[in-house]
Amino acid sequence: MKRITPSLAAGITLVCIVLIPALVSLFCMPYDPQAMDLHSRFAAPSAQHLLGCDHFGRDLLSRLMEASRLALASGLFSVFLGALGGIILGIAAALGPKWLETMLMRLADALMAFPTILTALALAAILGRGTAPSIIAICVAMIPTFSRLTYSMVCEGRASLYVRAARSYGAGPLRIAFCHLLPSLMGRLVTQLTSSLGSAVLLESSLSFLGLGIQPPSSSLGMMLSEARAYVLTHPYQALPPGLVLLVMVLGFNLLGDGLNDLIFDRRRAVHG
Amino acid sequence: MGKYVLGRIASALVVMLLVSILTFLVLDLIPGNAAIVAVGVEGSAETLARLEAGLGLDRSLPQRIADYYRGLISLDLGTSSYYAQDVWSLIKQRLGVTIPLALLSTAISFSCALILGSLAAYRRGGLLDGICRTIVQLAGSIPSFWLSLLLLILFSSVFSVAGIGDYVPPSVSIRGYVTAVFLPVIVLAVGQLGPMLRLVRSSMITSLGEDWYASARVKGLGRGRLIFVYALRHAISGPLTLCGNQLAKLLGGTAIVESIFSLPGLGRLFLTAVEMRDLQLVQGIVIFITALVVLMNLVFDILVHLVNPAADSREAGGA
Amino acid sequence: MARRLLTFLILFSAFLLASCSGGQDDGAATGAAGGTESRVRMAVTVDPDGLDPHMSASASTFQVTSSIYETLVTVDEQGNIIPSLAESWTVAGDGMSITFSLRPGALFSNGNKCDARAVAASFQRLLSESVRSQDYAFISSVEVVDDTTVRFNFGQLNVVALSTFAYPWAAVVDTSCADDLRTSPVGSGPYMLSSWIPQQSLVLSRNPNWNGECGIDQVEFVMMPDMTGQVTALRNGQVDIILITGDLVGQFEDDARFTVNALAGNGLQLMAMNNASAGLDDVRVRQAINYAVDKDAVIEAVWWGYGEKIGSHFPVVLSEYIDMNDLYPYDPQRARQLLAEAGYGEGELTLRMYLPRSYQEYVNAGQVIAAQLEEAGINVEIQIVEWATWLSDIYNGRQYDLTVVGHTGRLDAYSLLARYRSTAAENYFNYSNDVVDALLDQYNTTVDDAARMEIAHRLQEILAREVPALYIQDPIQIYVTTSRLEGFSVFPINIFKFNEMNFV
Repeated sequence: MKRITPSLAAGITLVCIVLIPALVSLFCMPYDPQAMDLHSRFAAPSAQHLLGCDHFGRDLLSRLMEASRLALASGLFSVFLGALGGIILGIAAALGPKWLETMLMRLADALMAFPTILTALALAAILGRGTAPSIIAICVAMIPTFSRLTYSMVCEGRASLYVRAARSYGAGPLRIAFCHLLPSLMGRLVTQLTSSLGSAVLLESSLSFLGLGIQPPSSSLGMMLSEARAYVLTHPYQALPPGLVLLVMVLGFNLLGDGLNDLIFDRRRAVHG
Repeated sequence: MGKYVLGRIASALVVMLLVSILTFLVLDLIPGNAAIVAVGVEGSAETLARLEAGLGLDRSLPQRIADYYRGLISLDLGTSSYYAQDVWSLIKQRLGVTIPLALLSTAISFSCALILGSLAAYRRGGLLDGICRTIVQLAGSIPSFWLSLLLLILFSSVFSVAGIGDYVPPSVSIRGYVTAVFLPVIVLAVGQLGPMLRLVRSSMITSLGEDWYASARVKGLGRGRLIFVYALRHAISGPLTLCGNQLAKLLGGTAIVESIFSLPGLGRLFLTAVEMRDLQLVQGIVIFITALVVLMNLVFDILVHLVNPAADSREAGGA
Repeated sequence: MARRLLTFLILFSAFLLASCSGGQDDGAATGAAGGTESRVRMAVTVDPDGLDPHMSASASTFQVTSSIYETLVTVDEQGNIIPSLAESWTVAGDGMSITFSLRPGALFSNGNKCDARAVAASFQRLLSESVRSQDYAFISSVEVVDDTTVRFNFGQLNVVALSTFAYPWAAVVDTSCADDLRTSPVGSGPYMLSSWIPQQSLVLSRNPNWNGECGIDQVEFVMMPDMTGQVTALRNGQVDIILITGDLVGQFEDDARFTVNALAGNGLQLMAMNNASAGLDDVRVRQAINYAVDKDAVIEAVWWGYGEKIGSHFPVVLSEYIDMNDLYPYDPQRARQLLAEAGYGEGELTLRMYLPRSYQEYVNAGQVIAAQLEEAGINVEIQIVEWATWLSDIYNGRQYDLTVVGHTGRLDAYSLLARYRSTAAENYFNYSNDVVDALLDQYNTTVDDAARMEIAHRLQEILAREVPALYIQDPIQIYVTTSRLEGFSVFPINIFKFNEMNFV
């Protein structure tokens, strides 16, 4: 049995490519990512600045390292919170009374249809400065995906033999949910979690592309791209590095998700076969 | 079927009500209103108060919500405070841009996905399958706004193509229209291709692995006919549902792509409406989009039912 | 079957290729053809918010309405008052009234007479309903003397009254269709609205009832939010006028097909400080901030050097201007020293800076300034907010420490500086100085030109010393036009005169 599929390997490699510099940036960076040097604005890549400088003469490599760290952190946070909320709501809808089920599932529909931009704006108004509003906005956008997934899987599992057996022993709905159903769904959820990381990172970057995400002087990939957009005619190169990092990051998570899926699928097949 | 459709519509109305009340609350919560925007950095407190009264902003939230729904029942979406035009006519103007954009890009990615996905599934593990899997991953990961920027740089600066970012309605000049929408259609199509192709491929693999396929092969049915008629029919319900979801999402406008390519679409209108605190316009667009999403999902569920009556549309909805 | 599929695939890719190359061919063709000669197309980023000049405060509206409506008087490039709808005027000996003689036979675009009665009605509406009504509160009554003569009586002396009739928001509108002016404007100007699709285009065509000169038959404002699109469109001859940022000047400078007009506008860009918030209420801290910021570097970094550095709240182009730039030169040492005197050591002062998202240049300027303040030992927390939020929380709510913003031009010192009055609603600086209040009161009632000039100088000096804000620059606006277009000019107030342009 092949344990490491090519997509899993590729995913791990790509994630490491962005993860390692991001972790390194916690301890050291070539330059202060916020230090401006107007003499070297738009500097081309050189020995001093490996990736060149932006429109304020800030070192692009250092800014990319900081931006990927923030993107990873906010992606992890929002997906984790979103998954937690979604799973709880999904289980509550599947095992709770009929009225709760209807209410929660309609609420999930409404959340899904509700524009993320509005959520981000409202949260920024309530929570003020910082990264929290955009993280929570992304988390809210993630909730419906997880609650629907959990809901449908729990509904399938509800009718299965072992659950009926557990119920006949007198196990309560909470015990059934957390001791019997959830473990069997874990594989599927982990896969979803990994590929959701990719979409969360993408969502964060589009929010900060619109100026709704991480605030300057901290850097974020979307913000760097929207800044680069202003200089597309004179300095098109500026748009390349942040986009590539974003692509590698999202691709990495998607491949990782697929690889994990294959792994779990293969193991199941091995068990059943 | 009729009862099912009625039920769907009823729950859709509930969702729309929830969404629009949420919108009201959010717009009430975020700082600034249409009168403040209109007065700007000029004008006195009295002027501001007069304008707020003129727009009905001095009344309580429940009162305003009640007024809004009274208008909505008589199918009146109200007047935009920023553009001073009828909300519905503003939305209608945008559909000429947004609908062709959504339809074209979905059609392109759906047909590409069907052809490539089926062939990849048939020759599983082959070269084409490898290419397909690469496309799935790349297309699904590339940020649409980055792709837009790259294409813009390539076509505007490097190839000096005229007419990009200068929207011309097809009634004025077909060529101008094609130039303006060509790149955005590509960007949106690429954005959808990933998940679509993945789904077609995996459903086809399942479909080709089933017993009926083997027995049909034994009976001597043509291979092409088998793949593209029978197997595809079995496999299509998931992709079709996805297609509906994607289409609905696109009809809601794609603000970023629209503003990069200067297209006067629904997404850009929405961004401006929020920015200008144009409550009526924001509400109108949100309700319109929600209705569209619900309607699209319903239409495609019915479509799935018609193409493959065996598939339960409820199950497909979750795929 | 497989063959049929292959045929389909080939056809499909052929279709893709065809639509692809078709698009490219087409672009070149349109570019070569260009526009018709009597139509000028100007790229703009933002729509007007309706076309009723009385009901708007937005620059994007006036750049359109100034061609649809006429004001009683207007300005030339230098800011001198010249006739428009009024052919001549006389100011009463005591300065308490102005009598305008209107152009006889003037008509609105709908054929209604634009006579003294119409002018009076329009000003009644301005006084009672307009966004700017308080600017005209000095007018006590409007009198119709005869068909072409209208007299404005003043309740209080206002020596700069004449110039207030030149602003585009004082335009004469046909009040008989007042309710629909925002979407169907009716004025007596050279053009009338022919179509407006928001976020797409707005087309003006000649007003048949206009008898003055008119070198251009049609004006089209094309809404293009993206700068790249604008530049490409100008290069390909699809638009004739665009407004660019300094970094793009090099793209057009040496190209004979284009004319670059870099003209000092009549505006101000500044970093306002909340004079009531902790720390900033100490004049030494505000001075320290002025010493800590290298304005030349900011102007270079954000505007590529296209701007005139200023030291007080006054644009360079007005005649009352005095140069106050040398008062607080860039001197980070001095800044630290002043901060220490005020009791703030390294990193002990933290200020919240709010920047309006819709204005990228202010967002950039704020970041550069913040970086310089950090170097002088002041912590700055930046938050980028939406324009509506900025207006509500920062401008009206005055909940901020620092913010970067611009003010549009006025023709006289009083309207420019009135916002520094302690009680003014527009005084978002929370600045309060009895001397300034007294000088402002005095200014409007001083008839002697030299004495008034003196007051304007004193006001500039006080503001430059007490620095309620960090005054950055008087921006230079860079318009690029096709060389074939003649007569394009920029005015000290936000108007365009398309009828004075023509193609060669």
